[in-house]
Amino acid sequence: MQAVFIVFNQANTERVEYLLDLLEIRGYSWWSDVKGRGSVNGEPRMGTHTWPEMNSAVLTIIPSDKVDPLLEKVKKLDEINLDVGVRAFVWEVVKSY
Amino acid sequence: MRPLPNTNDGSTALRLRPLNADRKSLYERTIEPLLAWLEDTYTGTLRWMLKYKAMILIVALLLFGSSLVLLKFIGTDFMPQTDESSITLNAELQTGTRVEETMKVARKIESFVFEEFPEIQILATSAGSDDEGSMFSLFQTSGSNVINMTMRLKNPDERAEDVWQVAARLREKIDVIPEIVVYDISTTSGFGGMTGNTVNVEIYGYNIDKTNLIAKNLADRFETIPGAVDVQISRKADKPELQVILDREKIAGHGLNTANVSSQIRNRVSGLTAAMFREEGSEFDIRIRLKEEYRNSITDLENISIVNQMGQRIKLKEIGEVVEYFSPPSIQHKKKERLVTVMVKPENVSLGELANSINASVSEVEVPDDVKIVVGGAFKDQQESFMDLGLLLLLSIVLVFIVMASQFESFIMPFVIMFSIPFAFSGVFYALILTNTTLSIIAGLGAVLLIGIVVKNGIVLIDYINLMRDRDNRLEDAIIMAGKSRLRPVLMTAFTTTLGMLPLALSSGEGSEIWSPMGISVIGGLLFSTLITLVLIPILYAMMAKTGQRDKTGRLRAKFTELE
Repeated sequence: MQAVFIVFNQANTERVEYLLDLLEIRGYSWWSDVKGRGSVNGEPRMGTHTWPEMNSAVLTIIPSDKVDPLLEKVKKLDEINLDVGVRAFVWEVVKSY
Repeated sequence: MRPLPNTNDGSTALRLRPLNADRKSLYERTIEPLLAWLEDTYTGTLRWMLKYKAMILIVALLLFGSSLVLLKFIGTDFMPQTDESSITLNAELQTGTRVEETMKVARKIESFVFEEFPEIQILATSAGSDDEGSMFSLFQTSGSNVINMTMRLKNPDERAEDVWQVAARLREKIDVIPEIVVYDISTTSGFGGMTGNTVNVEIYGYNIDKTNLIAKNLADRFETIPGAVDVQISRKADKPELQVILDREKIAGHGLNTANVSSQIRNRVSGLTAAMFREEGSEFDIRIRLKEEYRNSITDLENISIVNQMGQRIKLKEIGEVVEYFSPPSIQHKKKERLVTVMVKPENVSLGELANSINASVSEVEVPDDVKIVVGGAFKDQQESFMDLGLLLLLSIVLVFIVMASQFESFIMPFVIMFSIPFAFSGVFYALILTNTTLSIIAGLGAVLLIGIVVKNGIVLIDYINLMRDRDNRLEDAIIMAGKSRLRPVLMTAFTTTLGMLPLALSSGEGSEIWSPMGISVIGGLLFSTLITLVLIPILYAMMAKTGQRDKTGRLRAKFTELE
């Protein structure tokens, strides 16, 4: 089991939902409004007058064999428009109930 | 894309291919490159101009100054005069002229109108109408010596000359008719007295003879002013009347009073409606009065018998006398003072110019202590309306400033934006000069309208510059980025408004003179101020703004130095 944390511009909301359904991922936790900025470049998402856009984030715990297809899809999604922005981060799940 | 099915014949497929292939649309091929070129040119110019800010500002101020100089050459009017395809002629012959003579003159005028004025389609004449008080006399001066003519012209697009040219030609013809003492030609239809385009010189004074003399003197002076036509004195010439002066003691002795004597004279001279004659649904008054030969001279009148209550017949000359008398037809009052008005119409000059030369002429005349002269009329209305308009302008500027100051949380930003307003007015003046239009209330209305429209362009630009600066761009970079990004919206709003006003400005139908000045002033002001907005506002912004002014986080963090 591995945890995948996807942060994305709210403009990508429907596409991310579609990705999860496409890979038959049922369980996830979703944060609708997330502020943030990229480590290298890109516009900050602050929800202010200056930087009006906002991100959303989704955390999903999935079997390890599903992780790579998901990351591949996320990369594909990012390449549609680099300015919109989506990132995914993976870490190990040690235990779960 | 799926290949086209083979069932179709090949030619269609061939013809379809180029359309569906990577051909760009017409918009992408023409408008897009044009707009891209415009953006590049604009940002290039802006970058260059940011280096010469002071020079650009001086050039702009010179442009504004020159438009103010031009203002001197723009005539002012109250309302734009309209070609209503109607001319009214009101001519007076020597007082006391017989109806027959008046009719003759009227026929003469009619004959040359029909011959030499093909523009005139319909003509209605009333000449020498009875002044005994018909309904008509409520609206028009009447009398045996008065000719009233109403002429209807062809539609403006069906004739070569406008109504003022036709009126001017008519004036030339009427000037040389010796019988006509005074006349007035008006080009407003209906009861146009309310909206007459005249300069009125009001002479207040109790003494009728004195004011008459001054009025005559002024009228003679005004006649010589170029562009002044139809000079008219409101107090008409004295009319000859016969006055019956009764000896009250004598009539009392005969058992009569003034009321029944006057009613008896009236019945005998102008007649008594005794009964009605009805025939086939029509009714006719039966009027009984003396035969003309018995009421034609003063002696005849003095011989009229008055019957008293005892049935005795008393000759009029026994109880009074009939005398000839000249009476002023009417005495006008205003503000409880007797008043004579001298009315002057402008021809080929604006109302404002005419009023100025009349003012100069009035000041040369010596006025006695008990007489007061005031220049009024449409010119006064015009001045009052311009004052109101000025106040309105000031109010809307203040309101616009308040709204912007509160929204931008700054006093400098609104000030920069409102710099485009004077240039909008410059644009109005340039447009009026170019189209040879006078500055009327309607054109002024357009100028008031402009304040709101023009400011909007500045807001669009400034707001975006602020945003770019908030995003940590350097001042000049922010200005250029904003210019590039906001060029399209600014041009879009300017051109949509301009095109929307174009039909108004270009219309040429009957009465279009009323509204076209508004279109002209809005278009001129908007185009000029848009240009100025795009150039001057970024430069002013650069001059007024200080680097780091909008770095709010930086200022806040300066307080956290203890954390370092």
